[in-house]
Amino acid sequence: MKLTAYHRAKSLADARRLLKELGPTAMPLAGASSHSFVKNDDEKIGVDIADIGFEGVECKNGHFVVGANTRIADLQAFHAPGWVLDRVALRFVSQPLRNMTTIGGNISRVFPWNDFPVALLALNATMTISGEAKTSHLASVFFDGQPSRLFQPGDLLTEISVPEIGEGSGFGYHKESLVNMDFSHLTIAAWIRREGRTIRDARVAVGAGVPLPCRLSALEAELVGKKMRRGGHRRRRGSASGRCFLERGSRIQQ
Amino acid sequence: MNIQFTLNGKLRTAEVEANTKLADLLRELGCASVKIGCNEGACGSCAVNVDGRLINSCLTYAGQVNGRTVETVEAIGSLDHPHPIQDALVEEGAIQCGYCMPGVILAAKALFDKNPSPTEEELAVALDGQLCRCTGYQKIESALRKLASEARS
Amino acid sequence: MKKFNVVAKSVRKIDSLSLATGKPMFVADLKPADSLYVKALWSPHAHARIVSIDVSEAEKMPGVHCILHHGNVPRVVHTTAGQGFPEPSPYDSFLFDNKVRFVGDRVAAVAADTPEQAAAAVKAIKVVYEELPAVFTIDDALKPGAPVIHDEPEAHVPIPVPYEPQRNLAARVAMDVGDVEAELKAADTMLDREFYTDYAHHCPIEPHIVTAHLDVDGRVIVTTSTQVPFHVRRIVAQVLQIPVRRIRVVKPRIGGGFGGKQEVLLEPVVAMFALRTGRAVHWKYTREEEFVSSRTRHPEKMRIRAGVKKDGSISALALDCCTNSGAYGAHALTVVCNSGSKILPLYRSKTIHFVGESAYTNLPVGGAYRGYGATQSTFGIDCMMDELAEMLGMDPLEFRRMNTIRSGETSPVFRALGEGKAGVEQSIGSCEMEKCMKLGAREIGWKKRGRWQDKKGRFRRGIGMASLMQGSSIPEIDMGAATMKMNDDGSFNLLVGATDIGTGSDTILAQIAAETVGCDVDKLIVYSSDTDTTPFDVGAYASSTTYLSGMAVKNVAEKVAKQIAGVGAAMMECKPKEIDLRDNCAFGPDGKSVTFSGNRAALALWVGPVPNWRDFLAYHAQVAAAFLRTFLRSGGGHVDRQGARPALCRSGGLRHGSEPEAGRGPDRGRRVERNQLCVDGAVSLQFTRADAQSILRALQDHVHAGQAGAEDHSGPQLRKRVARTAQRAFPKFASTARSPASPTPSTMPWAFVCAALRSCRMPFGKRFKNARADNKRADAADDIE
Repeated sequence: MKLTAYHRAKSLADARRLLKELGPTAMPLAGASSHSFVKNDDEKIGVDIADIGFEGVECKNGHFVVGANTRIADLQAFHAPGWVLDRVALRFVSQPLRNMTTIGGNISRVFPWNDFPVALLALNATMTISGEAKTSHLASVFFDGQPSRLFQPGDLLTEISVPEIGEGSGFGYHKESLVNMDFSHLTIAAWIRREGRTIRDARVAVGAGVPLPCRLSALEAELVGKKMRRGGHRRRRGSASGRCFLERGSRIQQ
Repeated sequence: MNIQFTLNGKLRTAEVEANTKLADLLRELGCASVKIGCNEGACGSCAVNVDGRLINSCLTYAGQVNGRTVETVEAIGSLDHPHPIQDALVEEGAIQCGYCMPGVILAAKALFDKNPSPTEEELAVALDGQLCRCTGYQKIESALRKLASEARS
Repeated sequence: MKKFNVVAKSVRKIDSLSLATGKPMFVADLKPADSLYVKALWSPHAHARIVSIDVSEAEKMPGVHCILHHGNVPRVVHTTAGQGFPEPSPYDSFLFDNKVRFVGDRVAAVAADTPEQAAAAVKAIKVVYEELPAVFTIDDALKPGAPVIHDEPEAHVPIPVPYEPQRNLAARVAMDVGDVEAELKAADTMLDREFYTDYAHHCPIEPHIVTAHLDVDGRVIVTTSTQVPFHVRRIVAQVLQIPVRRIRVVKPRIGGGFGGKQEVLLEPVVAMFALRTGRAVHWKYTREEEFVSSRTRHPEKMRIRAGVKKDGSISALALDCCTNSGAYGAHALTVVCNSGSKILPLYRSKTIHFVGESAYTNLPVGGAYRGYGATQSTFGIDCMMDELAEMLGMDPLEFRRMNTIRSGETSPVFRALGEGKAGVEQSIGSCEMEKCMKLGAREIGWKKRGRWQDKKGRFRRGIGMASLMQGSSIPEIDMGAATMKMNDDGSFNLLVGATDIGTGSDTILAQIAAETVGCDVDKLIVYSSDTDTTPFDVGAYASSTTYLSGMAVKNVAEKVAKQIAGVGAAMMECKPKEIDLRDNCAFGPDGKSVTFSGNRAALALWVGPVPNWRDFLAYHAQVAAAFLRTFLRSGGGHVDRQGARPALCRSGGLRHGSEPEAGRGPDRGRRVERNQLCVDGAVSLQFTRADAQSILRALQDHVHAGQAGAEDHSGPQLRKRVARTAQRAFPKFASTARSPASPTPSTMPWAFVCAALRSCRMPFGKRFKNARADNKRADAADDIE
């Protein structure tokens, strides 16, 4: 895409005003790093939102409130009990890109291989859009289609609320790519809560290789109530079948 | 569009188009150290430090650095007074064709400025955006490792 | 052994600090400020004739100065391969042609004030194509009746070698020693295997880039990122039909070549623009163009047959190989010839058969690439060595040791295979292959390696080895030269045609000169290369600069040393023979000395150029044994060596570009670059079902591996174990996904996702067990419906 004009907003209100006034070709510039692979001649007006605040991570009542303008590098550098996005951030492209890209930019416009939507789906995060009023959407709603459908002209994503990983729960993240730099072939994030050895709650999300990141709800349902085994998995080696995994993610069907 | 930013310690003004990328602007302003290898953020040879953070200048619009501070390799060392990172890389024989080197040096500097004695892991993470096709990375890593361990002792 | 003062010592690379401080040293830094920019129109078709081309609209666009296409440039057949003249590569290329032969072939080029204006003008060029049937595989190309890719009457090779463009054969070379067929029949064990190697791209960080302008005398000055400045000058002169003396080629610092810049691709176009417009003209490939429209490693298909006796000796070795040359035959003959000549002599065999062919297809063009043909067949031959050893029940290392060529021995292959002619008889002066193997085996713990058959699972980790041979320079063809000049302060100008492309050859040559004249290395001012001022050199290829140009430098430095000794002897009244040159001084027999920068006599000397051609007859073969911890992928008892081996055999640890999806699927003929996916709204992922399947398999295996031996789902113990196992399974992945020391509560993220995924499969495993039993075939063939 081609920028025909560039504006820098001073505040959220300023950004909202600019986006509304400049019309449909205006778009917010977060890190602008995704512009490199949108190789068309579309003319856009850039509204740089880097200076409007919403940066940093705060811990509030069992939730991490992440400003949408927080750079991936800052997610990576942040450490706290129950915080797992540092590990997701570590697998994100490369240091310069982690320094440029914001989490808001990464999830407002979703490409299949984007890293954070998958993790946020598994973590059941809540996205807050600042428009006329503030509206909040659970990840499962937010990513059920291109998030742009939830935005009115001038609306901006401002906050992401990520639940803490509490006692008895766990999170895993896997990005299958040759190197970080590569587009992911398959990204999987899983969150599980257990009581004793029994799985009480599970969320599994996949991205890349599918049109949009999504939860594998049938698979989650199968997980709940299962006892976690100790050892014994070797027996089951080879019984693993790709079919099970993919068939349940109905969106993956060609 | 007129922008003003600090380039290597000097306040510079430039007339740019909205679509102008920082890499092209810096080269126009005489920073030959900013190399363009892929022009899509993959190789890191155009990397510069903006407000102390390493970014790929081929993906950054010139307007985005308005009012900010940009640092390229030109500012951090000279032939007579090389920066310790430059010296270490030269001494170790880590520089072959040298096309990727300005990016590598700035990546290392951004790290060392914050953390003078990074671990091997931290080094690897901080440099994971710099591609080098000649060296196989071994000598770059060992030069920087030496520098880090000197800082520790 | 001679004691050295400068060589065999570690010195600072002479240009490294300038590079580290970001000085303007590359082509892009040196272009004149008012340069015109070039953009090219690339063919969208794999094979088509250009019916008409209309540039009238494009010419009127703002900023456009000149448009070149087949209708307005001389039609001169040539090869783009930067090789010594007469080249062994077919003359099958034109500056612009009325036919396009692959997606990414050059149709037209525009020079305009800005790159944007040039790009806009390219879009305004109207071309009518008549699409022709295209071929993408070696087999299809060589079938009778296949579409002829080079049907132009001009196509020919300037030396008498087999060339049959009418059946898409770009090159052929063959040799036979003894009766292989008979020996194969008589062998105790015979193996017949096929192997295939894929495309790879050089990926220099600096893409192809050229600037040209006219000087005050109307000469064309071409500043280019090349490995072969003198071949550039010759080929530009040939294509533009102007005398060589009107062209000057300057090579500044180069951002890597790896063979890709042993090609004269952009220079004639840019030089032509400079001549037509009188302006400075600049052209730099984008990364995408670099992948598609520069050069690649030839994919190669090979059939190898070998017969062995029970005692482990090889009695017959037959290699029939064919490279996919793509749309043009650049380097076709030499690369495929090297596939035999560099590999076959490594192993002793009573009878040898070799046929190397190269086929034209409508795909991107093969060219020079590190290893230059040797890498491809090394892969096949060394896989065979493992299998043969296995069949004989021998240790593969011992089997290789037994059959590898040794010092003092010769091979009939040396004599038989030259570059499009007979080779030069040679014997192995010294060879430390056995020592290499011994050392490597000891270091990696070869004795404890075990057998892959005894291990279980789809991924089997183990230790492997490969041995290979590579040659350097071509005897009686390649040459280098050097000029040396002494200055009044005792420093020397060393002018070499040798092309330092980041290899450090300037430093090495300075060391050789300094050693020879007895001065410090910092007294040498090295300049490479400029066709006006530096003497001829073939350029940077075939790993030859140190040997070839190095010997030229030694020769010239010896002559300089002799002159210095002469002057020194006259000053100290002794005989030149008695003079000892060291430490920047000439020492007389009585211990007296004069310095090189002596105030009594300026020793202004000039020698050269001293070429090295005849002096360099010895063929330097490098042998190496590579040991690697590797893993084999097996599925249903079949071990996928092809998958495991390339790691060992393809040079370098990098993934050289993307593997193309050439000739498959709807995008036939178009190379799919993963990093060039264009996306808007609806996403098209170039992602095959097989890909998804193998990824999932890998993932599941990883999950299992992560859980292996885990008995407790809590505690640092497990974390460590998981990390360790994961490290083994996916080193890259584990290095970033390690369990960090960050204070996550005792939630063991890895254990959990592993457990999660493992558990996920449990019910399905059971559920589908019966279904699978019912339909084994479906399961084996297709996991994802």
